[in-house]
Amino acid sequence: MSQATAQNTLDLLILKTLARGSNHGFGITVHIQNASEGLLRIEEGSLYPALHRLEREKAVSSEWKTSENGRRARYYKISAAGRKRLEEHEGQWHSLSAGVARVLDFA
Amino acid sequence: MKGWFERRRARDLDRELREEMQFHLEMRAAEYEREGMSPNDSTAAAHKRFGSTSIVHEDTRRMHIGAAASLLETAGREVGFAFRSLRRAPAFTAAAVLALTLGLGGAAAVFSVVDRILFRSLPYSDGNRLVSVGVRAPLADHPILLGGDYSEWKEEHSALDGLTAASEPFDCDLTENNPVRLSCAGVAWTFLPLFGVEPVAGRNIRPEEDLPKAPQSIILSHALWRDRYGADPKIAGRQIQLNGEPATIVGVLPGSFEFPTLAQVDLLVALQLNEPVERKRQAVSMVNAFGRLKSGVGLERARAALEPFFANFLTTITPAFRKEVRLEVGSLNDAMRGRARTAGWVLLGAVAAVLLIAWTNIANLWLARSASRAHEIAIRAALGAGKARLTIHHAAELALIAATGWFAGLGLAACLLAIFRRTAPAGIIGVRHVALDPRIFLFSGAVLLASILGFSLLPTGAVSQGESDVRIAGGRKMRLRNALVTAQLAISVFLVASAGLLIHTLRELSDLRFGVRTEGTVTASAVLGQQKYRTIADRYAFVSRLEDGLRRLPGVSAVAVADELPPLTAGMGIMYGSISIDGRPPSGQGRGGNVNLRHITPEYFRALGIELLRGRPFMREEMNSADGSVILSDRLARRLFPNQDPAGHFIKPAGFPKTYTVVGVAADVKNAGLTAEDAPELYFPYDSTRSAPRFVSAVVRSAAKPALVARLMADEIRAMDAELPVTIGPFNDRIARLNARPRFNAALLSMFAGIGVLLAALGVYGVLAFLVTQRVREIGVRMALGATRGRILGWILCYVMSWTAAGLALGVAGAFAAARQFRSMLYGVTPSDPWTLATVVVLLACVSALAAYVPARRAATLDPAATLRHD
Repeated sequence: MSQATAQNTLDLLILKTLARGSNHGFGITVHIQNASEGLLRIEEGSLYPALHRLEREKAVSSEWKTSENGRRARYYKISAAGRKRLEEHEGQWHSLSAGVARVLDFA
Repeated sequence: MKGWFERRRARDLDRELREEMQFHLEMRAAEYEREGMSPNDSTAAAHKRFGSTSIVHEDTRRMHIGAAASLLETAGREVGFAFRSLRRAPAFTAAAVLALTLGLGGAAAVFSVVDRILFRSLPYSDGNRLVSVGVRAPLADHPILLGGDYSEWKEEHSALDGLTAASEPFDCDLTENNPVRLSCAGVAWTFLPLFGVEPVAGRNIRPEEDLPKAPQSIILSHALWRDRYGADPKIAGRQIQLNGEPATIVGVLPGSFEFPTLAQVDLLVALQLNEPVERKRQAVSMVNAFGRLKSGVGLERARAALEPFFANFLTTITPAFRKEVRLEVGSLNDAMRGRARTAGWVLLGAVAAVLLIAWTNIANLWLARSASRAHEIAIRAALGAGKARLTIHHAAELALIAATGWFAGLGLAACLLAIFRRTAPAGIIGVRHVALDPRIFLFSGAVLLASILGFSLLPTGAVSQGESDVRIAGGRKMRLRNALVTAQLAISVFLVASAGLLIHTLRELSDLRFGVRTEGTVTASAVLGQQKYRTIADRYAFVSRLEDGLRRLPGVSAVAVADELPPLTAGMGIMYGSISIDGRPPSGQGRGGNVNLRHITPEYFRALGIELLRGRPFMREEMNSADGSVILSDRLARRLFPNQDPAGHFIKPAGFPKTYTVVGVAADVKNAGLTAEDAPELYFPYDSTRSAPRFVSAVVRSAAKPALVARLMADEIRAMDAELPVTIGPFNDRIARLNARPRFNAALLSMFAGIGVLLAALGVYGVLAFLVTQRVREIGVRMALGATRGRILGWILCYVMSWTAAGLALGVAGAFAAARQFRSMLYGVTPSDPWTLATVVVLLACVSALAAYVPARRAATLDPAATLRHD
């Protein structure tokens, strides 16, 4: 996987998770792991830089809120621009995976 | 410029990021705890899963500021990052900087010395055209010309642009207040122009000042001008007293000047050769002659051009002597670099070896570091840190190490050079002027830069090949590291063996049996000046008074005076073949090798503990009697009088006015320097009527402390002549001075060997420590399966010893080959001395085992349970 694809995939997963509602970094990793039934595990080392980059690119915004266990946590929320990007990426991903699947089946 | 606001924002960002990550870690830990882990373990596990917080921190921060930052800021940040990253690995950093400092410092210092010996042009203009010209006779160790011949030979103009003359340096005394013994050399007025040397102050000697009986003109060496006359720029024209006679300073030599025989020379005096008299052979002086070849003329043509002059010279000497002499025209370049050249190459080899060890050491450390960081590198690569990015980061780390090592290394080199200048013996070209060369700064800087580039590409190379999991370095890399350590050990063997041989040589020299009992003896030497001690009677009177004075010192059991003490002679000799026995004609003049002459007073043998094998010592009254007595050395007695007692026989060396009666035979002593073959020797008494040399060496055997005796001797001599400079010290100090050059060689090479062994030990330790860290799991599994601690220890030591043995074997082979190249520097030990090599091998095996022991022990004391939980 090229760097760009890896980055796009991670962005896609983060945006999709946040589309369900705002969440903190830890929550995002937990959701992705659960939703993929343990198949995908996000590296923390990649997550936070990606979140901060998305924020810089105005795809998400963040604010400090009190979490479920009473601790202060940074919650990320998807923006309108983020939703638009999610739609685009989702479409691309589906056509890419469909294409890959067909090629694999063909052989 | 980052404004205050900007910095404030960056600080907030840092704080928030830390809090965010902290929250994440706590949540993860809580999750693990719910799954049943203990609180401690869960925190550790959370951290483990998260990876390095500081890297995440750094990468995230970069998301905010990276885009806007200029290249310069990036570089600055990388250096800061590299600094923190190195601080987290103090062992690696210290080892790398140490290796670099030692390697670079030692190499730069020695290269500065060797450079002048091997590569620099001579300190004369167009020095390659300079030749030494002369007749090589069996008596002299270098070619010489007689004054009359010099006067004729300098008329040769077809091959030579000129011929000039200089005397051997001789002791001379500056007899002013605060008298001092100096080394003078006589030079013809053509000397400095021929060598292309310009005085830095004043002028050269004028032709009219070089005529016999002209008032003495002298040129000071730069060091004497600086140290004694405060570098006075108006020194020219000043009158001083030299050997009690007035002399005028006319000029000052440049600081870079070297006398062409490399002897220490404090001042040049006009040679004042009386050429008409010399040509008629009414006076015979010996000079060293130097010529300048016309451009395009080679040595062969110069020799051919001088051949007729040499043929003419042959007609002036006895036929028997003709076969013993030959014409010699040699490049001054070769003559001056001469003996030091071998030492130069050996040292250069040592420099290269130490640099190689240092370099492989750093390479090894870096490989180990990058392998243990493979995980971190993989993360950073996954996060989008491009290949260039990682290369920059590694380059920044290496640059920090390199810069530190470079500065420290050059500092070390400067210190070492200061020591060299102070301790170096005379006779090594340029060593008194040696200094750090700007070219060395540039060269070492360039090498470091190239190394940084090479090294920083190493680890990213592995990642970019798509190895997503490079945590455990493959077998290929481990083999590379082992090979590097093997090479280090091999080079160290070579270094230590070479140093060992030189140390052995030095010990042989110190243990030399001079045939003299040196303990409890103090010596004083001086040269009696022409002015005050003009006649034989003057000098004889001085020697008698000196003996009487010294005999009054406390605890004295014997006092003697000689012109020179073993292992040297005053330089007077005759040919064996010129001695006639009991009135029979001599066996053949000019043949049979050299016989040393030494003038002594009666107690000489007792004072130096030389055994008298037959006959008796000289009597006091023999010092004034008309019929001469002589004592032979054992070697000479056996040769002149085989199978008979020489006592009572008569001998007469050709050219001596008297016949001498043999009164005794003394045991042989070392009398031709430290390492040369002993020569037969003739002892004459100081004689008030005929011979009382200017050279005076007194020796006192006393039960009192040498330091006290030396002080009292100085007082005694000062009371006799306050203006006479003397050198006083225990007999053994004289030997130490003669040992100076081998000691210098041995010290330099030992320093290198020490550095080499240290670096090799560091290498073994580094690689093994890394190995143990990498194989913690494997070791844990082995132990869980029943391997005992002893077996683990044995397994690791066995592993180390396999490549140690390979290194040692290679090293011994290399040392064998290399030592042959510096046979000429050795004395009393063969290049392949088995004891030296065996000692070196055992020593290095021990060092290697010791360096391996620490990590091996750590492996053996691992808790298998803990290692299996690891990861």
